[in-house]
Amino acid sequence: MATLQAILNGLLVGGIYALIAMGMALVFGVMRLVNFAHASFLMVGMYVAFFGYTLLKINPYWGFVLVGGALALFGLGVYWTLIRRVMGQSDFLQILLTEGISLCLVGAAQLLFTGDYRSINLPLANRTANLGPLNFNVAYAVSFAIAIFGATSMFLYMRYTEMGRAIRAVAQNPGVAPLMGIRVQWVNGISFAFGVACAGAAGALLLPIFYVNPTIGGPYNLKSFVIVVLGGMGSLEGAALGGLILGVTEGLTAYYWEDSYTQVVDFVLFLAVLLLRPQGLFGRKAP
Amino acid sequence: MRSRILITGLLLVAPLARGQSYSAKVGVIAPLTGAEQAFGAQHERGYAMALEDINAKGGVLGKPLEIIKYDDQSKADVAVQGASKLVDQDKVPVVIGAYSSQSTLALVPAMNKRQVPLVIPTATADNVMASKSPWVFRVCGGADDYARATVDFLKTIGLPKSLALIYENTNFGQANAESMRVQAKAAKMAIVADEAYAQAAPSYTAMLQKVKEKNPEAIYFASYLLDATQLMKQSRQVGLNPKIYTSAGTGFAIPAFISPEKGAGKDAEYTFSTQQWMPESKWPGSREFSDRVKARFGEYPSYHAVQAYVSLLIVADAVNRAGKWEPKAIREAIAKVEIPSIFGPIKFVNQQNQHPILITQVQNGAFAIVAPADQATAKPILPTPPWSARP
Amino acid sequence: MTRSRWLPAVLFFAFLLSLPLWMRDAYLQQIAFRVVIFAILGLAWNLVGGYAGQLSLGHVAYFGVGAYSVALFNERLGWNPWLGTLAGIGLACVAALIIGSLTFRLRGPYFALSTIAAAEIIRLLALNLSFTHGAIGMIAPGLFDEPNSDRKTYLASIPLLALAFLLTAWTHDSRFGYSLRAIRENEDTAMAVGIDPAREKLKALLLSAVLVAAAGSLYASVFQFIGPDSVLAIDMSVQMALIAMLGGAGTVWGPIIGSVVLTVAAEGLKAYLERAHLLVYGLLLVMVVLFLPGGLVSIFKQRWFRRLRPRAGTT
Repeated sequence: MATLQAILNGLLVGGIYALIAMGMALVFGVMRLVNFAHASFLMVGMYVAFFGYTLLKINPYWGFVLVGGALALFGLGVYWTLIRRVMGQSDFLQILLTEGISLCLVGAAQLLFTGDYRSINLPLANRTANLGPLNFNVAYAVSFAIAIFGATSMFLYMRYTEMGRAIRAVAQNPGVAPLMGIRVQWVNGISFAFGVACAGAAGALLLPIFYVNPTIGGPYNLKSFVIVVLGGMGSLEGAALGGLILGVTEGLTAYYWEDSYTQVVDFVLFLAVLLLRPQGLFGRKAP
Repeated sequence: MRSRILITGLLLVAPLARGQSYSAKVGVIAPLTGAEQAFGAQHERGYAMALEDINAKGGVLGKPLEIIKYDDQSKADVAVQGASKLVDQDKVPVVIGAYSSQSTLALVPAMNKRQVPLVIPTATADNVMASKSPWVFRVCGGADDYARATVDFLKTIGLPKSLALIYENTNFGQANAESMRVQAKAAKMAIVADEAYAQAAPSYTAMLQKVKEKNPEAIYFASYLLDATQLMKQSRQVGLNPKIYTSAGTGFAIPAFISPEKGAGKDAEYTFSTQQWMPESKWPGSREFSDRVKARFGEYPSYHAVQAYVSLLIVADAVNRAGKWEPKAIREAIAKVEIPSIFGPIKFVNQQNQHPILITQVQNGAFAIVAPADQATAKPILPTPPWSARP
Repeated sequence: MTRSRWLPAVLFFAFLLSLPLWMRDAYLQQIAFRVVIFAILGLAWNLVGGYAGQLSLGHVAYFGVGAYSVALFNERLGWNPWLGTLAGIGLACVAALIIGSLTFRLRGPYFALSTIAAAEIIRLLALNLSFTHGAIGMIAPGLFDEPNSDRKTYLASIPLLALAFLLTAWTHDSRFGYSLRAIRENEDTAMAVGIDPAREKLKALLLSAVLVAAAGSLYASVFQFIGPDSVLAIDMSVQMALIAMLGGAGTVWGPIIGSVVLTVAAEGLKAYLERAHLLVYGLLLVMVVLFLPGGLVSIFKQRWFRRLRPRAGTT
């Protein structure tokens, strides 16, 4: 019974993880770029949602769409000015660049908002509901539902729209795609924007149940890496599934072992996957 | 002839030698930003009030007192850098700080090395005093005092048979948990759960669920504000219903904890906490001080503000008696301080001020003193109603 | 060593050693000490990141091992910090062997991520095991038992910097360095020429770990308070990379220049922009990657080279 409760809690949190990780998986799948700044965009999304709520009374549970949109534009800008210049260069430089962008975002947030923690108090966030003998926090459930909705939309988009097909084409073979008339630069830009938007929207969903401060992104970055590698770099389904798996694993660890060990388990899982099955669950090629 | 050369040489070299001329200012280290910002703000208010009062009486050594503040950003390694900046660069001969037990612990060796006195206003972990250094003085009561006061109070209402410990895993939490383990053992309370948690985790529900299953009669928390808030809200969600919630002050003891915007709001009701001071406490001047702070800052002070206030008063008194801004003289003067204050009578025995601890309970959205008997303003409300029966 | 390297090195170290004679301000001495420590760290990282081209973002693991060894061996066995340092170096080598053999199998971003994972595991262990006192941290003994021994500690750090410098210079001009650079350019081709990438990378990592651990031990004895967040944080790994990159990865003087510039600038900015230092780091990193991937040294190199060694055929 308690185990089921732990699994339920884990699943609900895992939904949000999945949304965050899918953004990273998309960027890697299409651009072969590991975006070390991914979770910093999450943090930016949280601040946008925070100010959206405190200043404009925009409830993040529908406002996440706006936040996602705002971050998509921001991401596009970042891509065009910075990321584009290192596409095709060494992994080394790409990683250092995204790391640098991450530091800039965190640093700017620290400068503008100081290190204080901010939170919003939505009445929804304090409500609990019951599913038979199990209880859950309503806010978590809503976030989970939205995350699943977001993930499904992404799948459908990738499958059935022109742009989605173009994205998948570039992901499959960036060399051949231009021959098909696909403007790879644009696809890269859109994918990056999409990925960042995922992080931002997830941030908006996280805000009511958590709090924001400039360094809040750190642990989520590392979790996202774990999930994306677990699911298979570049695989959206893998990231979604991986997010849920990680959420449940963490929940069970917190229950049976101790809360502080969840992070250790994250990394052990990470190394295990990297060393034993580097292509993850659904990945296509081994590194 | 040779001796004349020697003396002249020494006189020439002396200014180059390690001659320190200290500035006539007091250094202060506090978390002005970061996770502990709420407490840093309380400290700041205390220092501001103290400056007012000290300078109204003529300042220190005839001049207005000035302090140099350093923001440790709620981080221990930044606090250590503060020691370097304040002592090495600004040349202050005495430092008050930091706020948290973690930052203070990091600060102690840095201050010891520089041989400059450190006055600790708020850190309750007893290991900050472990070095037994003559340079370190503590104004507040420690973790042992908290645990003992809580157990003494529990004995008056019927000692619970089982206790759960839930504490954050830095110095403050670990130290208070350890003190309570010792006291619980002596009082023959069984510890049925012992859970350390990391601050800033999104959810404690798994841990609280675990504790719920052990069915403790009482819980002793050691938490800062953010975690205290989350813990109470999530205790409601999980349906954790011990007969009594107690805590080692800090997060559970400041006005922000009771506020619905910044704290747990109505979920804070019925919780007990140790307090080092309350506006209603019987020490002369408490009520007036509290009202002055409310008038000036819009909020009643927590005990942290008072600790900061009193610490600066102690230092001012010491410098006045020492007659100069010099670390060793100030140190010796602090050791001899004996003044009455709104924080009770101040007297250092073995570097530690002897300070009694109060116990409060949140009743109707405000703190009420329930122990010790000579300070009590209300009776404890027990047992705590289960969450399902609460609004 | 070639003459062009020998002369500036001697001058530089003479300058460093002379510092305590004329720099009296304790605050400035501290800054000088930090410059030296970060130069050591930058040089050490440079061996793996600059010469071998392996973007390790987990180097802080060895720093933490060095720092904690001093504290732990003192607490448990009463060892003085000098012995603790030796123990730390030994343990760091063991860690390097384990981490290296696991992570060097991976390439590109996978390698970088795995080094982060390895370092984070060590940090989390230090954070959660009561053996290391968890989040409370530990107090490490000072190198010299007297108060105000800053000057002696600073002087003690110079030989370590000299060692790091010599190692780097030797690597740069030796066959070992040649192998590393070959691996950096193209690992598969290197294999084709008979280089064993696994072995060479591991050798570089071992040398690197020794230096980083020694620096960690030194840090512990100076600041005396260590905790998972001060000696095992990922920020420091990034900082090591930044110092080497800023100065010039894969060069001998690069990390030293990087450390001087970065540390002095950070101190100078701190007075005005206490809260902005992360932003500045980030901007620096971005600009170095985009505009100066060869580091500051690449600026110096051109003029210096042209002035001192005119090529045949030019005036």
